[in-house]
Amino acid sequence: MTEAPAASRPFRRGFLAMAPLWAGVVPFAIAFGVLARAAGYSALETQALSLFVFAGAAQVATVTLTAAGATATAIIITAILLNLRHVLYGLSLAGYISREHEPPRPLLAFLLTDEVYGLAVREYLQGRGSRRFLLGAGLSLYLSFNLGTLAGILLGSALPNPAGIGLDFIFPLTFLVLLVPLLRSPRDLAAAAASGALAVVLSHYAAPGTTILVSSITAALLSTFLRRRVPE
Amino acid sequence: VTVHWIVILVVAAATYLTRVSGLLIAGRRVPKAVDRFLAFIPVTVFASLVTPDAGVGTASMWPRLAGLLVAAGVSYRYRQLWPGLLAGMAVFEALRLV
Repeated sequence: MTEAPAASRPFRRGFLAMAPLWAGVVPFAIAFGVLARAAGYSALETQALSLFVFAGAAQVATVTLTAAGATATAIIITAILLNLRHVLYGLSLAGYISREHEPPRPLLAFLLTDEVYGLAVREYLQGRGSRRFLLGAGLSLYLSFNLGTLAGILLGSALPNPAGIGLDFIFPLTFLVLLVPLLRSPRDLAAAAASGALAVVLSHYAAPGTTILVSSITAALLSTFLRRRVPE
Repeated sequence: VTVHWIVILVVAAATYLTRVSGLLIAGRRVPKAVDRFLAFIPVTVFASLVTPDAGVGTASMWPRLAGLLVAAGVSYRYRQLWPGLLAGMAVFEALRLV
């Protein structure tokens, strides 16, 4: 039995560190595949979203808003808003990865999701992080997410209309389940409550994309500038 | 249908830009207020994607609210996507058919 080359070990460790998350990623990707098809995206378009965008929340928002009749501009702005947090992940990781040169940043950036950031930064904080670990974790997620999407596309034609059996409820549920672990302080809770309440009111008057845009920016601005009124 | 492809490609490019910009900026300082604003964005965006679909004022309001409540509780306890999704869907489907 031959020993793996030293350089490949962090890659493998990263790939396997993501394995427990496959259980969450694959069903999510399957659900996404089914729902994108239900929202009117073709099989090829659905797979292309997972291949090129590779951002679950933004993809779900994109197909949901398309189905709801939002304009392309509103969809794109919403996706940008949903992805703005990646700038912070990049800023946070940049200090760690600057001591290495391979693999190149533009490649690593493509794989920078919530989960990959979480695993990679933890590894760096434990003093054994590396770009190859990040690459391994990222490709592990990319592979499982795209295979899950493909499974959802294939299953989609066999399943009945998702809305008819209440499957459309998975949209708000998914975002709620993404939201809950982020609520770590009364401040976060206040920001979420403000945005949520505003969105309910606005949704009666504005398009879905506009609703998300206006309520989330307003609530985030209020939270930023009223921060002294609410305890951390 | 061509609109779909434009949306896909622009969303892909925008997503990549957000991912690559932070990594390439490296070391630059962001004003504190901007930092705080961005930190609230996931929370406020997710919240605004949930509540309009809670069915307030519609026939399916109670099954939806019950499903969301249970999903929130389960995901608070287990901190993972799937248990909350399953529990929320189960409660919603059960109450919907009553």
